[in-house]
Amino acid sequence: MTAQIKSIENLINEFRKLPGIGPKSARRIVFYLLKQSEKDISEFADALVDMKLKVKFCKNCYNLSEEDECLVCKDGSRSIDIICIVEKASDVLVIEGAGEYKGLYHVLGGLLSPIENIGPDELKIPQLLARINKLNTAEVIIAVNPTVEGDSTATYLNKILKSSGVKVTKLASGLPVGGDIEYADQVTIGRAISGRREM
Amino acid sequence: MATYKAKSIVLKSYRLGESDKIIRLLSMEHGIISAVAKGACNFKSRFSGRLELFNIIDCEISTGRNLDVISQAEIIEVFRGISSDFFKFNISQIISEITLKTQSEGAPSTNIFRLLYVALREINKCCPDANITLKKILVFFLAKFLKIMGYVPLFDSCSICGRNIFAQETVPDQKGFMFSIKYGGAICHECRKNVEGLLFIDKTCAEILISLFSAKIENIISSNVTEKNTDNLLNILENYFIHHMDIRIDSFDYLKKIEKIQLY
Repeated sequence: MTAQIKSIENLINEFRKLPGIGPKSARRIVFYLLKQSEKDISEFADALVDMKLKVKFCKNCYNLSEEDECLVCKDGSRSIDIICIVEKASDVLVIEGAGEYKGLYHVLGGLLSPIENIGPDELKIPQLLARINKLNTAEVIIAVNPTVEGDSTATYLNKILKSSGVKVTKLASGLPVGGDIEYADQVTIGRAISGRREM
Repeated sequence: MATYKAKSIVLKSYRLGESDKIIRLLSMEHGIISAVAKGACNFKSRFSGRLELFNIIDCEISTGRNLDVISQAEIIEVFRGISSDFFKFNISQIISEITLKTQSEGAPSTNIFRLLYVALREINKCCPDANITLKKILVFFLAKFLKIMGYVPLFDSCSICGRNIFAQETVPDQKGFMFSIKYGGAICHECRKNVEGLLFIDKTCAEILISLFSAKIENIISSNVTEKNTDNLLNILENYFIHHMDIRIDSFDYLKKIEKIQLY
């Protein structure tokens, strides 16, 4: 019957465009929303539009922000000597959530990928180099995923950053907290051993 | 649910939903396999490093309604050196893209599997910044790949009239020969007048090109082919491959783009 109600079908089709949402989930969400009050629905719609209109990229680090500069770049208490390079803006939230890091960020916007045709110019690498020169950065932390693509991007960044004299470090990789050595694979164990540290 | 085992090479992975991945593998017995690795993005996943690109794995796969599901994976060999150099990664990606775009699901690919394994093993062994050696490996891969797929160019006779080239031409004693990508090989003195887009292959390149299709990888790597000749051979084989296989390999364009801006 819903096939005859155009507004419902339209909304189902819109939800189906979202990642991980299939036709059944989309239908379930739409029928849930139908039960909500008009006020709740209008708040939900306003939040969506508001997010799209207000959120933009920080002019310095390409993190998400509602202003020209993001909250991290505007925070005067943060160390400007150190920049943490991440693949995407959501990684900033995860690292911030840990509460251990007090420096600046730089969001690359992806990883180098021959198959996807993503080269250094498609990423924010030229902007990173300009920023390092401008801030006279002492250390750069490469915080990309420990995958083959991530490691290749890190290798490339290390090569171009080393020549500018900045200290380049990379996030440690190995066994996860709470993990079990018995179930770890050779690559993870190998990295954990090669990256071991003195206690 | 039926299960099967497959010795495979990981060629590509995509994110699927919150924490799953679609893994594309090349196996000896089943050709290309696309299967879901559930929870593979989680740090504590049992797959974690096992399904990384270019790993040789032994996996157990359950057949699903749409996509198959990887239920177990064990590492046989890891090529750690590939990610330590961006050029190595680039060459490996070209090889991987060629395989993914030419091999089909369900058809055994024993020879391609072996070729891919040899090429990745040699790329992994290369010293960092050994760009000429890496290009030689790519040249070797393209030549052997064309041979396996049945597209070896014709060198001893004219690709148009079938006349014996060696009887009337200069190969390989004097200057070289004319080569047509479209007609798939050497073109004799008579036929060349009516053919457009011919490439002149000089004596040195001609000798290497002819021997390439039967040479061993060790001989190709240890040969003293110059960088210029390696680039020439790569260019010829790339154009020949694209014309005859009728597919676009984006990673080739990427390699050129990257070389232009002197990434390496």
